[in-house]
Amino acid sequence: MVRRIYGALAALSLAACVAAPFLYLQQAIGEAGYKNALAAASVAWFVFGSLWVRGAGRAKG
Amino acid sequence: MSTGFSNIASRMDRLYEFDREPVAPGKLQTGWQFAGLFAGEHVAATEFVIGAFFVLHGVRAADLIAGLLIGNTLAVLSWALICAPIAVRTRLTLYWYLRRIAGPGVTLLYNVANALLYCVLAGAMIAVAATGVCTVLGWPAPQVGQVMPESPAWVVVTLALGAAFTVLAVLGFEKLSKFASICSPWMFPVFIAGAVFMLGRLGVRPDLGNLWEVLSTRVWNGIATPGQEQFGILHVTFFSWSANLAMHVGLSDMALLRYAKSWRTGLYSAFGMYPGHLLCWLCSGIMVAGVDREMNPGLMAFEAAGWAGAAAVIIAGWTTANPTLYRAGLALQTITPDWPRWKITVAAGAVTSVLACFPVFFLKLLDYVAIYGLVLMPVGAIVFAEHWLFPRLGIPQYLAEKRGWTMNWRALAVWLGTLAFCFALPMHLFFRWLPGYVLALVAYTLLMRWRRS
Repeated sequence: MVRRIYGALAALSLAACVAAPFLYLQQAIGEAGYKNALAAASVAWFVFGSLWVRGAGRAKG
Repeated sequence: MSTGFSNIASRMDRLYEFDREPVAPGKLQTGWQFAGLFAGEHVAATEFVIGAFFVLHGVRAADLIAGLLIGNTLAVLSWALICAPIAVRTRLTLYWYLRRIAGPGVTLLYNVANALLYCVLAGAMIAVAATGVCTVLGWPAPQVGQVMPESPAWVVVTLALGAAFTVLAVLGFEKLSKFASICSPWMFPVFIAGAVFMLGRLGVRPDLGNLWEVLSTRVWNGIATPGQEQFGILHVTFFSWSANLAMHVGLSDMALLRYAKSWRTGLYSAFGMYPGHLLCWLCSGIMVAGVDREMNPGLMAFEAAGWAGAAAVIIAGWTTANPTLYRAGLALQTITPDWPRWKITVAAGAVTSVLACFPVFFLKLLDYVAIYGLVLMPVGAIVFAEHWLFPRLGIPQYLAEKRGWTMNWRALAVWLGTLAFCFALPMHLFFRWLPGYVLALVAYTLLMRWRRS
């Protein structure tokens, strides 16, 4: 269950990475907002992606 | 000479012993596993450079899109119709199949050539990562046309990165591979994000109404940067077809596809080609246009995606240089079989780091990629002829194995002769491999038939 949550959060982080520049293009956020959002979403991906992959390793082990 | 080759060959065989036997039916993989593998492998550091160079070479937008669609489709078909059928029928790596056909001597030469080419490729990836570090530190990166390193800062950064990548490769290839599997899905959104952001900077309106106008006038406007050769649709088509020539037509991906259930699995290479070699190349083209065509992958990515972009360039260089260093080490181990794995990886890393200092390897990446495929392509033609043509023409197969030849001299002559022919051909470098492939097929078949008569 926890692993699924990590997987969902990881997927959401990737979606945020893609959504951020479109928000900039639509002028909903500025350049700094876009770059900060992309950096934050990237960090989130590495955190939740790592936890998700580690969970997969434990499940196999 | 022959004894020396035999000794090296027998030591080399021990290194590759683990994959000597054909793949057992129980170990075959599903198509989706191949899709993931191809998708991860073809979104690499070099994509930041290749797509950008098409802009500098003055390709028009329509030509680029059509050329990439045709070329990548031909690449997918090459995996499915040339590489996968042989891999699935033999269930062997190219190493062991080539050994049956051309003898251990030719296999050894193939390995050494492959190792050197891998070192240069890994060097280019380290150099791409170095541009990211230089951008973050505010240090100058090499300019287009530069061959030798001109800045001490550049040399320091490339050597430091090369050393760091090598140490990490020595410490744990498998752990890094796991880390790379986390990085791969993230790389693609960073390319997309950088390109979409740069579209805004280039003047695309929020409703995207002027998207095509901006792409065709400000990105791929058909005007080459001074000093760059003008490219058209044929250049793009042939380059994108042959960017992985050594893998599909050259058959080195037999190592992967021997685990496929059928030849159709080769079609899953589309999951690598269309996102990696089509969308990422388009994205890096848009990014370089957004920085006034300055060929500096680190700057491009930093401007387009901020810290995430700089990290993407560095991580992409690292995660793609790592398996390349490993493969170079494995191939080099054939000539230094008594060395432990760490020692050969350090040696490959040292060579690679020195090569990375020379900006020519990443600033001439398109030419290098074409040469890399060209050098190994004749081996694919020789194997193709032996596998498919010989049985139909009544020519005996696998004579090197049956007669215990150390070296099939005809195969070696065809390999070297084809290279000489290709380098003398009066046509663009990207186009030369195709007539060379046909020549190698015909020449090897005729030489082996003539031998029989």
